Amino acid sequence: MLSYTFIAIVAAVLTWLELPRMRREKEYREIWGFAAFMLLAIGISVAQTMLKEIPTPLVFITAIFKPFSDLLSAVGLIQ
Amino acid sequence: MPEVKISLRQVSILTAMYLIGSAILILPSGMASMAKQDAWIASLVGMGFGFIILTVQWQLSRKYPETNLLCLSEKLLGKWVGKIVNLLFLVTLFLGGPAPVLHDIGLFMTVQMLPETPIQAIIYLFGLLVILGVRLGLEVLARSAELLFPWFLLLFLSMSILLLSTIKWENAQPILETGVSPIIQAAISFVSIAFLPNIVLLIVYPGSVNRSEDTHKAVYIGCLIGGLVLFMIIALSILVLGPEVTARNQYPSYILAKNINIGNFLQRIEAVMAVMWFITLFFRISLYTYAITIGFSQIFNIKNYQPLVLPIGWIMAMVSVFIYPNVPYEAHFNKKIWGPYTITVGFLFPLFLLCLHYLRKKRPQKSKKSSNSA
Amino acid sequence: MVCMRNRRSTNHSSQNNTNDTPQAEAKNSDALKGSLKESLDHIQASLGHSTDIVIREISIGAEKECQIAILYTDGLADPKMISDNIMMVIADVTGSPIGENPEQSRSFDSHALWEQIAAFNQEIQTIHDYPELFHSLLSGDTILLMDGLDQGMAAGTRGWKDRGVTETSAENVVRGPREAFSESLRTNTALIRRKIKDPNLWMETKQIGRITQTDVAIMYINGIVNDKIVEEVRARLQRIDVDSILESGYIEEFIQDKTLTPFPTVYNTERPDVVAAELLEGKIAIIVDGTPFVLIVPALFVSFLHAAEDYYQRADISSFLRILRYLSISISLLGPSLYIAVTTFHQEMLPTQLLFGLAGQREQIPFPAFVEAVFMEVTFEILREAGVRLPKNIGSAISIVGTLVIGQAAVEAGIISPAMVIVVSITAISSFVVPSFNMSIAFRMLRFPLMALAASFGLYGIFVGIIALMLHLCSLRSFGVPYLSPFAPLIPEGQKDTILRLPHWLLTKRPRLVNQNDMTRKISSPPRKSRE
Repeated sequence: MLSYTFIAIVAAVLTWLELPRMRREKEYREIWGFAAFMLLAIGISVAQTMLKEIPTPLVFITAIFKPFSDLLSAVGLIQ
Repeated sequence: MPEVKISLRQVSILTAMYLIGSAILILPSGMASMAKQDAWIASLVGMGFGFIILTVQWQLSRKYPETNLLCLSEKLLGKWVGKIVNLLFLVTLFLGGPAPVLHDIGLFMTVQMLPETPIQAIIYLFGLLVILGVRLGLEVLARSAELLFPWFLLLFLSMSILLLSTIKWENAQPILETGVSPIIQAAISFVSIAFLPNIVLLIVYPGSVNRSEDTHKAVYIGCLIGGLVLFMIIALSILVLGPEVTARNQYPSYILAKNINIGNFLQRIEAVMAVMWFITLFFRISLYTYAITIGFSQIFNIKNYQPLVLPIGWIMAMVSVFIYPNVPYEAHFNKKIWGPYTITVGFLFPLFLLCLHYLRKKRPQKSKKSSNSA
Repeated sequence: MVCMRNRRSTNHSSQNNTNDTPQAEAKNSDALKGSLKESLDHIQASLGHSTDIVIREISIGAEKECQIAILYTDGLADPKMISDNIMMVIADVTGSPIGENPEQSRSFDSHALWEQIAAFNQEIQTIHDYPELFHSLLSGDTILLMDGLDQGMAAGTRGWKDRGVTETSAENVVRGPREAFSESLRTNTALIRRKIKDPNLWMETKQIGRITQTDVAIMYINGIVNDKIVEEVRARLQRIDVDSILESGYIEEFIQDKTLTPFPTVYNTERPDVVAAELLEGKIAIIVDGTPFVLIVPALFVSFLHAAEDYYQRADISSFLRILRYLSISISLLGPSLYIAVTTFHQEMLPTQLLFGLAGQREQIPFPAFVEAVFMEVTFEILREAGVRLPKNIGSAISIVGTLVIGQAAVEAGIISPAMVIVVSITAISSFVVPSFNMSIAFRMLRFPLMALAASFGLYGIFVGIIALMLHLCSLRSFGVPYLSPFAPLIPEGQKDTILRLPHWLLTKRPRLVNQNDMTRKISSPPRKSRE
């Protein structure tokens, strides 16, 4: 429970730091971008609090590059 | 894109710091495990490869002055394909670039210097610093680099000079014992950490330098300085510690610093030497983060990148905590996957774009010819 | 002390004469009418019959046909000047002592009288409306009003008691002039003019402050200064709309760049030679009436660490002292933090003997190093601030009591360790090496967050703090000039005068980013070796 409030506080502080200035300068695209990334951030932090053990996203990169990696190992360019 | 103008000298210094980055900490170990005592030869070979790669990267940029890599890919691949490619590029770069380096710092501090501090605290503190730097802009980063570079040089040269007395030349012999193949492997490893990620500079520099036609020269100079520093570190590690110790330890430069002993009173000053690595690590992560933020704002046509820094920084700090579940995973990833990834992104991608560029140049002539003959 | 005043330039008085209709109407109601009685009534009513405003009504002329009123503020106007320049002239023209023997007085032309008075006074200005009249009257001028004339005359008769040109209190030098500015604008500008006798030294005056109407002057050397910065200064001063300007600090807060920073971006000084040197480098001086502290704009980080004396002593002495100053600033910023970090986290860095001693001391102290440090630092700040306010005779006693007795007693009581007393004392003393007060305060304030970071994260925390500080300093600008030049955008030419002070014959160029016009100081060639 404490972690959730902490996440909420951090999100609120970050919004308070940025939103007034964006609104003043009428930077609407920036507000959308900011909101999108904040949602992503909150999502990840909530997931981290709930699951405690998140699989690392590097598995995707590993999966994509495995064939190339095997090729290079076969050639002898990497170990 | 914000209107910043940095000078060529600042470009060189930033590039040098970016290159040295995390390499100064993690590179000697990997190279020594592959090439044993010839790791220093491997670093020189790697520098050679590196300059070829740099030429490919910057050749592309010189054809289109003032356009950074993401604009280029949109131009050459078409708007939507380019945007998707850029998105993939940025996301994978984010996962492979700043997050692991931040994790490295956290690991290093927790293992070696501040054992009782939770890793999240260290990562978040550094993350805050990076957010501050990137938010303030490239000009501020460049000026701080100019200010901090003398201190880095001072620490590095003093460490090297203080270690000169402990060099044992027989540690480097016999030379070329392992043969050429492991040297090439170690050189590829060198290049994948030091030179291939310089593709990121192609996002940052074009459009921000006050004399853009000479940017590539400044980058070459910076890479030369960076490469020399790395060569010296690797050589010192081999010569002072020996190849087995270097290969076995995760952070041989730290062990090097521990060995400094002057007159029995100036000893165990490795904490001060660690500051040297913090400086370069800070600039590496800052440049990565700056490039990624600018990249995302360009994909979505957002003019001012500054509001995006805070959420991206938060994501980065969080992801750094769980990006490597354990050290063997990290070792495996660095050995097997990081090389192919950077080769693709840093060498094949600009090469591909260059070919596209030449094809495009030829195609108008073809259509002219056909219209003439028709 | 007599204070002179230039003729007001046309750009100033044009503020009062606008062409807009509603304002012209207001001015019409403010304009002087021909009737003397009406004017005097209006003046008395506006001033609330204040008892220090003296109004003398005189009838002169053979048939006492000419009514003149003389008004001045007692205490602000010099009575001798009034009697010499005005009363004697009137007596001279009309041919008799005023009011007596009307049959001996000659007929005269009132315009001739006006012109005679104008000729005899050093400064004369015609008054057309009440705001001008009140401004002149309340600044110490004598106002002459004649019945039937719809304009009056203000004669410059300012003379009030002034502190005069005394020694500086805050910026002492071993070698160099000891004059300091005083509280009157004209004395200060005269002191600057004495140093720079070039016709290119230009001055503009404004009145700022709705109620105080304080005179504020800008001085700069045309041809050296960057015109864009002058424009910027003018624009920022124009934007100030406030009731009172009592000190240059008010102006400083209004014109400084709007960033959240403890570091000062406007330099202030009490010494005319410093102002002259800065003007010669292409900076702009802002002089405020009523305070001896003159503002200098744009101000860079290095200006706060330079003392005037650096240029009067020889180059090697000055370079040594400057290096000492930079070292002291680092000590004052980092002293306690390094101590806390090393004793808490990195004990391996200390030589073994020292480590035993320190460990033994820390054994008996109940508090962690951080708490000790904060306690000592706060105590020292309290003592220092108290020392500023105390009368001179008790002040020195308190400092001795504070440092020796309290420190010693605290050590004996077992509250703090002796090493901490040493660290805090050295830190405190080194913070006074910085010549400029607001810069040393900034560093002193920043010491506390750094201590907190050191206590939590050791050397890593100090590193983070210093990098954050450096990033912040690099992002500051003072009137468009980067704050850390010539360090941050590295200008090799500028390095001759930052940490080292190279001899004067090597300092051939003015600072690059401050001015774009005349860059060469045109110094002569280096001294030749004499042939023995």
